[in-house]
Amino acid sequence: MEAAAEPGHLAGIRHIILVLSGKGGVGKSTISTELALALRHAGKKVGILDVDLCGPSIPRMFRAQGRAVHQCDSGWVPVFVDQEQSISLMSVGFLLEKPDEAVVWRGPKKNALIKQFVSDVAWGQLDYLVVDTPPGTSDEHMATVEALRPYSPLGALVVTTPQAVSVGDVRRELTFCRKTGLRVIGVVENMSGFVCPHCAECTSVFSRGGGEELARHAGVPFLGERIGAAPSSLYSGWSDLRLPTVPEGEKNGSSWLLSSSSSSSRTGSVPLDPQLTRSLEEGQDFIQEFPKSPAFPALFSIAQKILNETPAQLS
Amino acid sequence: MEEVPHAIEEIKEKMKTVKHKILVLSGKGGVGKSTFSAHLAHGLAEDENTQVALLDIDICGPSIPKIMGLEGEQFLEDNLGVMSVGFLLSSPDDAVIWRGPKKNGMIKQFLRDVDWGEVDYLIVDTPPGTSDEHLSVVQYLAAARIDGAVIITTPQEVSLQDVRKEISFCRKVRLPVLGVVENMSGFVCPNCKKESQIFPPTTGGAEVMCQDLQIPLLGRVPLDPHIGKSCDKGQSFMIDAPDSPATLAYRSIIQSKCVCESCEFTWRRGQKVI
Repeated sequence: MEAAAEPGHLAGIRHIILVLSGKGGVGKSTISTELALALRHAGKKVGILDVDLCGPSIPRMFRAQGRAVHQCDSGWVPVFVDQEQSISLMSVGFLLEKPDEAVVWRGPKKNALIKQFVSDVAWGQLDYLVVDTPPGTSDEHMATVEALRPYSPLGALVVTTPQAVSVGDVRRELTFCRKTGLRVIGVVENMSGFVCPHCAECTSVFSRGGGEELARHAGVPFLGERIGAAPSSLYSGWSDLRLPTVPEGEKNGSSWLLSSSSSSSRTGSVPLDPQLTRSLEEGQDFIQEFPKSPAFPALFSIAQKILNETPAQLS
Repeated sequence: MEEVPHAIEEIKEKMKTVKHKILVLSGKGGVGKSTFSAHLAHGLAEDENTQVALLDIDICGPSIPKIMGLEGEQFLEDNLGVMSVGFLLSSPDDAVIWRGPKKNGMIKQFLRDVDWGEVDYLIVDTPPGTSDEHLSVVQYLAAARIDGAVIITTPQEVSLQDVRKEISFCRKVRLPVLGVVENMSGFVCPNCKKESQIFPPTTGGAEVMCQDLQIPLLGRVPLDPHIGKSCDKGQSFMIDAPDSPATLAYRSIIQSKCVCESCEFTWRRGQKVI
């Protein structure tokens, strides 16, 4: 490992995953949070590094606002969300004195803090480090990719919503990944359809067809329209969350919009679920509390894909 | 940076023909800044005597060309002009992978070198956050004076916490806040007509935040799936669905009169400003 030459604090981390999207508000922080929770449920140790310096959402999603980062001999101690210390967080949100304070920084200052986040946080041993990013393809992204490059990040999850406006931004983000040599693990379509809690009708709140457009663009087959509600009985057995490996052929087709032989264009779509929003607002463990939600199988299947790609266990 | 004061003066000269400058801001992304900017522009331009310009300074994620249905063109109607970095890219896959200084240079060029002509309203759509683009636009327009900022949010706390930061930014740079628009506020199922909160206002939504911070709430726009569809097609939602509650909400915001601490402002031409 190249990291051996420069034994930083990331040396004990097995896999690094970046969560990116061109557009804001498509659910990067949500997907980062849920991915971390799903990986934890699979027995992994996970860290989340929030490099959204102007709009950090990770502390609130874990109900960790107001927690402080401490200094130890080896650097900054991340904030642990549970007793077992299975999830640790680092965010600029923990460094602000007042939560409403704006971080009004230009690029160079942001770059410096990101470098510090990468070099000075004492993560210890982690199976996965999930890096949540702000929207766009600018300073934070370049600084993050540059700083992490020596540690060979596993790749990027690119998040989109179905509308064409969002897909346009994601195409630009894919170009960013290509130009910076970052592998795309998959494309996640979030907020695809809203299932009315009153009548169970599924509405495409944020337009539709975005996944299809992206599929056409990437030159892969479009396998079908994403549905919102999944029959809960299918997943009720999964509530213990020590989930068995789902064989490739049985993988819930509806939660994988696309599958492709090319390395960069698989899509998992997560339907819009107000329970999910609410639980993130309140910092609850969505995956534990709402295993019957239509969003759950999609979130699980994304985590499963990552686990399948990275079979090695933390020794 | 020493050329900045020079640029500020040049931009002041250039902006002499621009009556009102309004920024559309939000802390969080994806809350509807571009959608609101586009509809504000459409709404103001419905009066054919009002000249409207829409400037998109989201350099890395320009959505305005798509939402306005423009491919390469920069004038939609005779009285509505649009400028965006999106027009300068050769392909939809072109990413603008730029650090701050380059983005700032682009914004300077937009303000100084675009021939805006006689304009009643210049609406500036911004990217999320409180960083280079925001500082630059405020700095470059310092001498030309910005009327103020409209801040867009969604009802949930995760968005409001970022909006509070944006408001603290406005206060730091002395940018008047014209008011807050709560977007995606409730969703009415097209099938059963019952309302759900997709983004639940767990801390009271924009209303409580506005009371706390003593800033005006300009209105609430419900989530209507037609809005996204119209934006994808590049059409004005207000024309596509003239009777939708969301259209009525947009119209009432566009026509609203906002009185805030530092300014008295009306959208409509001919009425008193300041």
